[in-house]
Amino acid sequence: MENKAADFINSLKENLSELPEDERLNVILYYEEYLNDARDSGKDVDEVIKSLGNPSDIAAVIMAEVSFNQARNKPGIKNFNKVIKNIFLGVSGPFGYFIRTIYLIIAYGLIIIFTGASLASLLCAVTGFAGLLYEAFKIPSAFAGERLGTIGMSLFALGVFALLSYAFFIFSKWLVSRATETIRKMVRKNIHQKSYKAMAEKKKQGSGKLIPLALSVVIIAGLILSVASGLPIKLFYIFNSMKPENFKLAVSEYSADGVRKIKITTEHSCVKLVNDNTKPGKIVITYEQPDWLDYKETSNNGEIVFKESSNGRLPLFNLVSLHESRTDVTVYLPDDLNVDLIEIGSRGGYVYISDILQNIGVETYTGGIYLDISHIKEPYSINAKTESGRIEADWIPDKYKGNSEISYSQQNAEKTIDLFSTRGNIEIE
Amino acid sequence: MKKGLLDVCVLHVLKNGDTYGYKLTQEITELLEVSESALYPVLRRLENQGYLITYSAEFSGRLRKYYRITDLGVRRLNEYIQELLELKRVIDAVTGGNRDGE
Repeated sequence: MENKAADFINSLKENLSELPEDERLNVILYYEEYLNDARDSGKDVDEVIKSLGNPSDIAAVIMAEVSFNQARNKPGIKNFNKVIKNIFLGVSGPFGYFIRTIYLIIAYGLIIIFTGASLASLLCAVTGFAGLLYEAFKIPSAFAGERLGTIGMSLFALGVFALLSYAFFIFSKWLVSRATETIRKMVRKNIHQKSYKAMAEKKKQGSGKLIPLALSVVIIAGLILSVASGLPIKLFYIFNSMKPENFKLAVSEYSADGVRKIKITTEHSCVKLVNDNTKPGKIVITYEQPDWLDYKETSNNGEIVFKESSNGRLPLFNLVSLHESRTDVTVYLPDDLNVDLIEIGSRGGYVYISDILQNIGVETYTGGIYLDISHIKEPYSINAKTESGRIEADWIPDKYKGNSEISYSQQNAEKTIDLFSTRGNIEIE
Repeated sequence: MKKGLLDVCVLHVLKNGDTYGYKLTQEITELLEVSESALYPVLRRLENQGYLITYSAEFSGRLRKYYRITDLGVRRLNEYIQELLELKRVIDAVTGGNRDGE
């Protein structure tokens, strides 16, 4: 008789092994006391144990109850997993299994997706913030406005992504509590619902408002800072291929005599080579200089060199300069010019060459290349190649064309034009 | 429905005085046909929700756990009773209808 009671308690202990220690002790003490009281009141303990039922069934109900409570108090993936694990202990019937499984797959999938989205947004917030902040401190301190504006942008990115992350987090928590509540209803019906809801709402009011409020402040502060600096407008102009409102016009004039080589390199300003005879015997270079770019121009030993560079004023310049700036470097060349080589390089700007026949080499990264050679009478050769752009030159016969490259040569050609773009398109007329 | 009624019965019994697990079970099973092992989770939940508190007292050389209803529990019981009265009104009106209202 006493053995049966000990067996019952031991079996209960085993079935509850996953419960926290104090919770399990609570159950054991309850049933020990229960059996003692039953015996003291003259009952047959054997009978009492029989009417209590199977220890594993008792344990299943308790486990489910405990996991519901945990998921309700701290809705997260971990506690939801416990709910899922425990509810199947008490199911009966294949249909119950089927319905519950379907429901679980959907609920679980949604919860995983939104938890993942929350984590991803958080990652975006951190990297966006850190990256832009790093950019901000790369900007020379002379450009305090741009530096502040970039800090503003970093705050804005932090706020927006963190808020998004928070929203996803709250939503996944809400999903967990909804799913838990539904599962609980599937397992057993209960008229407690109302009080649970009241409890949940009470909790929300306590702590939920502070984080979104703080993040909104960060977003607004970041927005004000960056807009005040004028940085977004500048970037908007660039990314919409508009000429900036302010630029300095620099003009320089060289005698064409003795010039053997011209070399023009830009970050993302456009380069134009045009034929112009209003000043015979002169090479004229004009440059529309925006406030975020510097340039250096030299003329030595028959070599004219123009080089554009960033003055560090724009954040994320490597990204920005993939897009062309509509500020032009225009080189006016007279008819009778004869140089060995004209070399043009631009990262993001496009290159435009019209009615010029010299030995020319052009290389761009994302900028396009436009060559108009339709008015040239003398024979010439053209080599054009692009890695991921496309080449348009309908008038050149197919036999000169390869896969994304052209090698076209006329008889007795003395001058060669080489065009290369990594990602830009090449157009030849 | 029956398990909701279990909560009402527990709170009702406790309102008449503190008691311990075994005695509580005996009184409940007189009121309601329910498995003897169904009570522990209910007690635990009611305790978590603050409707009852527990304390230990010695009885013939061992400790016994007693359950006492709280003010919140009394309020909840009264709410239940209102709900049940409402239900009873409906059942009376629809004589011969569904007996337990589910």
